[in-house]
Amino acid sequence: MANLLWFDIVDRRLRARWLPPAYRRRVVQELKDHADEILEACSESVRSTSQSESFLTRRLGDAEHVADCIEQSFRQRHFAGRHPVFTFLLCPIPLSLIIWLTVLAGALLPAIVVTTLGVDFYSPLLMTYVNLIFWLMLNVVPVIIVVFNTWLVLRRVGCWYALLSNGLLILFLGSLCIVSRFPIHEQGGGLIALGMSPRLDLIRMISMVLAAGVFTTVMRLAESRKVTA
Amino acid sequence: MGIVARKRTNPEFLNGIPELLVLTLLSRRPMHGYDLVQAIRAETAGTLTFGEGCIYPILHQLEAKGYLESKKHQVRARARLVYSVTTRGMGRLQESATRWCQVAQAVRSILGADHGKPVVV
Repeated sequence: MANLLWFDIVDRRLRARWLPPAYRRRVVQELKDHADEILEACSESVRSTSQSESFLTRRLGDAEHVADCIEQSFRQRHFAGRHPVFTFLLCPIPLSLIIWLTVLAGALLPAIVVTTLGVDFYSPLLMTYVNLIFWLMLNVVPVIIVVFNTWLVLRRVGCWYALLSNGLLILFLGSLCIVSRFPIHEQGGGLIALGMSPRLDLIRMISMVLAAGVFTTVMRLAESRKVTA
Repeated sequence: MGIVARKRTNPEFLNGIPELLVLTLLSRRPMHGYDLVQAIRAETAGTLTFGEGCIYPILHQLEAKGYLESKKHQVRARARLVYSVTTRGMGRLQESATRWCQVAQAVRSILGADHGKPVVV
């Protein structure tokens, strides 16, 4: 295999731009096969001399330009790649807050409906349900959002925006805390008052980082077995 | 105060040519990257020159859009990814070809009017 430097430049440049390893391997392999065919088709004199490197560069194109084309084309495939600032800097926090509140409201709705029908809010069954929802909202939903964002980062784009986005999400979701009060309504029915207060929760943040780390490792292992098209 | 129009390029016109060429050639027969480049070179008699390495991002992008599919085949005793056009790709080819003919016709009309005679392409 001639012209190793050319492939090294392409590979290094794609790695520097954070393209997924499986895709990087695929495209570099195809380029190597292409180069082999070019060399096979050309004369013996070119193949055996140092001219082969410049000959291949002339045919394949400038390594940095080719790497740029590959990167641009890869990013253009997805919305996240076309608009990384929007997807990874502007969108995640407001969107995660909306998701979080929607899930919370949706999950609490049955409890509110039951309470307005006259059921005691402090009944053991209802209290267990509400406690479960709060636990899920504080411990599971943020982790799911962070893992989803990590998936988006790994699968669609790889760039510094994405890392920053994950960091901000972990900080933001780790600081969310529901402050709840359950005053008794004058007519006897239960009334739920909810509030949110920012409070850095180290344990919650560590759990999100761990989940994202485990997910990333599993993704990398799974990815090595298939080629990203 | 005037309205500032958003400056837009025409991607179908400016960027659609490689896609059109690749889909057309692959619709005739499945090929791998090297064969495809040779086919472009032969069909255009060397008019279109480009870094051959740039064909792969185009192929991968079309594959990701579902216009092409790739399968590993032995070509000249080497495992190569051979690309072929999908049904969706055929539909896209029809669309792109029609649009390209319209654009080419429009450009030809303008060039013809400027030179006082039709341009033979």
